[in-house]
Amino acid sequence: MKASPFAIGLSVLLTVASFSAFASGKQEAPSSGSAPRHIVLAVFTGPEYSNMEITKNVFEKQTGISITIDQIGRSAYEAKFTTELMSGSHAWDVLYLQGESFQAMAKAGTLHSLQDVISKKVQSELIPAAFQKGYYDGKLYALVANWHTNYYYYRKDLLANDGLTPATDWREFLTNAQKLTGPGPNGQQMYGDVYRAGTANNSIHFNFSNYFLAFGAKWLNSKFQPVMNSPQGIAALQYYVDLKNKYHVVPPDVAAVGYSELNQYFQSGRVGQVIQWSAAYPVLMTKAQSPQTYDKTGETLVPGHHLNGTYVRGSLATNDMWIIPKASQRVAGADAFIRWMASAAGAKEWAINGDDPINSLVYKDPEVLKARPDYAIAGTADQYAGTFPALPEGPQLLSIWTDNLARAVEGQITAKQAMDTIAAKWAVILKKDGYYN
Amino acid sequence: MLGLIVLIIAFPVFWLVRTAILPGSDLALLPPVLRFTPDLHALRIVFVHDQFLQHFFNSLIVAVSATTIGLCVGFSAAYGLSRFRYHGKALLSVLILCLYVTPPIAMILPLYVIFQHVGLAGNVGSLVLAHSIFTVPLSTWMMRGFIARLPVEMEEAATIDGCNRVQGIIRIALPLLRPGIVATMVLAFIYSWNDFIYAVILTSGSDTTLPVMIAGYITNKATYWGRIAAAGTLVIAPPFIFGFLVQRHLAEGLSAGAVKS
Amino acid sequence: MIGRATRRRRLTPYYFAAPAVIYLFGMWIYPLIYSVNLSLHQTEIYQLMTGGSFVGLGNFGELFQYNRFWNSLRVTGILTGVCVGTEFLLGLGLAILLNTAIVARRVFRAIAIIPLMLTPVVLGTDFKIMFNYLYGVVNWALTTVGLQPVQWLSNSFWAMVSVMITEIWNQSSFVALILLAGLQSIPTELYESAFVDGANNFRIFWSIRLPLILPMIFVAVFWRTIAVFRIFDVPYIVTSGGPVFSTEALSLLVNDIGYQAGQMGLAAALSLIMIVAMIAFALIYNRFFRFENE
Repeated sequence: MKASPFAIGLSVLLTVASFSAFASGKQEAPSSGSAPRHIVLAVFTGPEYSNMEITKNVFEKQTGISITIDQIGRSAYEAKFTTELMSGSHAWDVLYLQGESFQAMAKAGTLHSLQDVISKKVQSELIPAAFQKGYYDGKLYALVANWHTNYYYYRKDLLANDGLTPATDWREFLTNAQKLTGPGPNGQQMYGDVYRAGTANNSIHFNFSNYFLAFGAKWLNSKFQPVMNSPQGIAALQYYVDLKNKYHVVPPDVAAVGYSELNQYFQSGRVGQVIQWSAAYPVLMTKAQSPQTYDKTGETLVPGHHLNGTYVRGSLATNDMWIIPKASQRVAGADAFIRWMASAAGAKEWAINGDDPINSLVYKDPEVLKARPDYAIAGTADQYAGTFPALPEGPQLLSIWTDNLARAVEGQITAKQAMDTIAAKWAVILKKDGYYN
Repeated sequence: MLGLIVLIIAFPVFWLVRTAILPGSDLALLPPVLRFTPDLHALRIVFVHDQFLQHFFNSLIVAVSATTIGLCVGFSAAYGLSRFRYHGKALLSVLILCLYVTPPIAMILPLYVIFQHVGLAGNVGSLVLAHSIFTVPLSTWMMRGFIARLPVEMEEAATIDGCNRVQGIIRIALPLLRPGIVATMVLAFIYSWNDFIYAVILTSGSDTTLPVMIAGYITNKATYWGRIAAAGTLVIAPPFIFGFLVQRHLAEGLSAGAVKS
Repeated sequence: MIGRATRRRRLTPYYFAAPAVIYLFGMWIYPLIYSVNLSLHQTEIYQLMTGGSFVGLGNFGELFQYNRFWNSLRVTGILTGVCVGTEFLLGLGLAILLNTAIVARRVFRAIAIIPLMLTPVVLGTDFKIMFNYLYGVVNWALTTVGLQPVQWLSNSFWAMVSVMITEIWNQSSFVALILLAGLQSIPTELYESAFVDGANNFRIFWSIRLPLILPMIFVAVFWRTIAVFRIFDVPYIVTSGGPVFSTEALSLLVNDIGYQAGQMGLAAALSLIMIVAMIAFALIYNRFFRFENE
């Protein structure tokens, strides 16, 4: 029968065709020359990408190395960088890695050492607390790319109308919120605050942890024991939960509110106060993006807390990092990038175009200050900022933290139960991994 | 009745187009603003700056290739499963199904490693092969139903008339199966076109497909609603035209489907 | 002694299936083995290259004690049942409508395909905007007619409804398309004679058309069930697993355990459970609803 050879032939042809048709591989052969000319840099889509598009041109002008940028969307970001790093792919030479995953990736041995890449002189210019974040097991593996923290944004006009002032502590914050909540000028309900209570990408953590830290609570003590269920930790969560379930000063749909919605609710005039990232400054305070409210918005430090006779402040900071994947084949070029980014020259460009480098000289540069009016309070705010514990178990601990917080806000468990559960689960993991006995 | 259906189908699309041309700051205003000066900023960024056409063609190439492979392989497999009885048939059909039911999340890391070894990593070809993982089972199981409905006597009659089996298939069965084939083609195409998880892991840079480009508009610091909607609006147009051209064949299938038993 | 001709005839069916088998082994076996191996170890994300400690069936045991696992089973079950059922009914109705001779039939058919064309991100974002509590157009419409606004995305019940509405709107055309192809390949003589005999439309449909498109119905229902069981994009974009996991389908849980919390071994175990469940479903389904007229 003639059918059989035909069928075989067809299948073989198809298989061969599909493989040979795509024979040209995407990954170029590594450059053999010693002078680095080109690197591939992977970064988040969004403002960081827009920044890099401009910054890379300055980099090329100053060093002669061109950059091809590969964008990574937020949705599959963890999956993407995990796959790339773990498979030993040399597609990227520099990666913008989210701080929460740094320790895990370093422990997995997927990062190139940055020891001796940055000169001592430049190192002395970098904010110490931030710079230290790039160390794992005593060696430097990352340069902190962004040191963001949160501010307290508020509607000057709405507060003034009710005879209020921007809150300096949480009691005032609540009083303000209560007075601001109610029917607004066009009959729509206005709210005194809005926050994030969802679990997607640990959303609630990135908002609540400000309240948490500003209440004077912390996650671990110096012995690595979980202490988030201290009285102030529980009080912070109780406060957060009450804002929604008791005082109703936040919109009821906070479980579905993310970073974007926070901005949207505020800039459309429905909310009077909000704790939000410094990166929202250009969104909330410029005419182009918030025509209805930009000139009525003020920003200052996150409210503090009177604790045992003292006044404490705090806010959440994140530190995303520049890392070099271990499998990169253009390490010389990548090193040059890190060196430039750490120095005042690179940091300046990065800052002017919207991000927050850790080179302190930048904060005194008049050109930068002119482009970044929010830097007026950045220096002070940075002093009080704290970060989530940086451990390889970070992602897992963060997941437990987020899940129980969300349940508390939803009313499924009490604040105390949530914090106690978190502490207990963290203890199991930390003990198992030998942090303490 | 018809009007209601059209309304239900069309309204979310209308809202999409509106979001695409709405000035960003108006998005959260209530009541929803219907009168506004259209802001083409988002459309311009999507089309010009973000190289919409490049990603569009990537998506097109991948979808067409994956659909073709799916149809060819799927049709052969479906024919074999439908027309013959043999040992291991049930096992084979279940194995083919297994290709499809594996959650992509579980597959991406090992698949990426395989492609790295073969030298295809980051290449559009790897994406075509990955998409075949669902277009092949989809085509197979879809075509099985259609082929089964076709009486075997048709092809056997052709054999008596002097054709061999393959000719019997080509001349008699395929035309009758046209509606089924077209339906399978459309569905496989849509699957490949809309896939996100394989595309984002297996391709990068300017090789990525549309869903990856659009997903990039959800960022850590902002969600560019306008650009998402703009890209979505631009995306609907070609498949819409494709479907429009193709459903003519669906109609022709009606007359070609006459079977004199 | 088997003659050459007979032997070739016996082997022919395998030649037809050969292409599929080639792909099968090339693409699937290694990832499957990798996943099985991963599921037997406790592997954190930073141990992917070095390998974690062997725990045998420990991951599976941990899953069975995990309340979010049972929750996602429940969520996935409800989603699958309601979505597939509704899509079937709507798809059937749409197919019947499109099959009848109506004015502008072609244009209408093309319109019916549009919902399928939206990529998941666009689809999810569009509905997310429409369902927003404060500024969404759906709540605005409700309040305009005097009803209370609904927390579409932040209430456990309504979040499920939102996800289902999004998915049903998106995929009913899929079912419609398959059923339409089935309806259109029914030879006209079969019901022309029934018309002549005086049967009305409903009888024709029930006794002639419906039985003849039964294979198509089985295919469509089967496919949609598998697809909704695996659903990821729509709940991920619209509700991200809902208020406190109330819309967390199985695939979302796999992603959360694996890539968010870094427990790769546990995630692999869950994927395997999903695969086994779907295969079991396929086998049972095939037993009751045969695709061929055997």
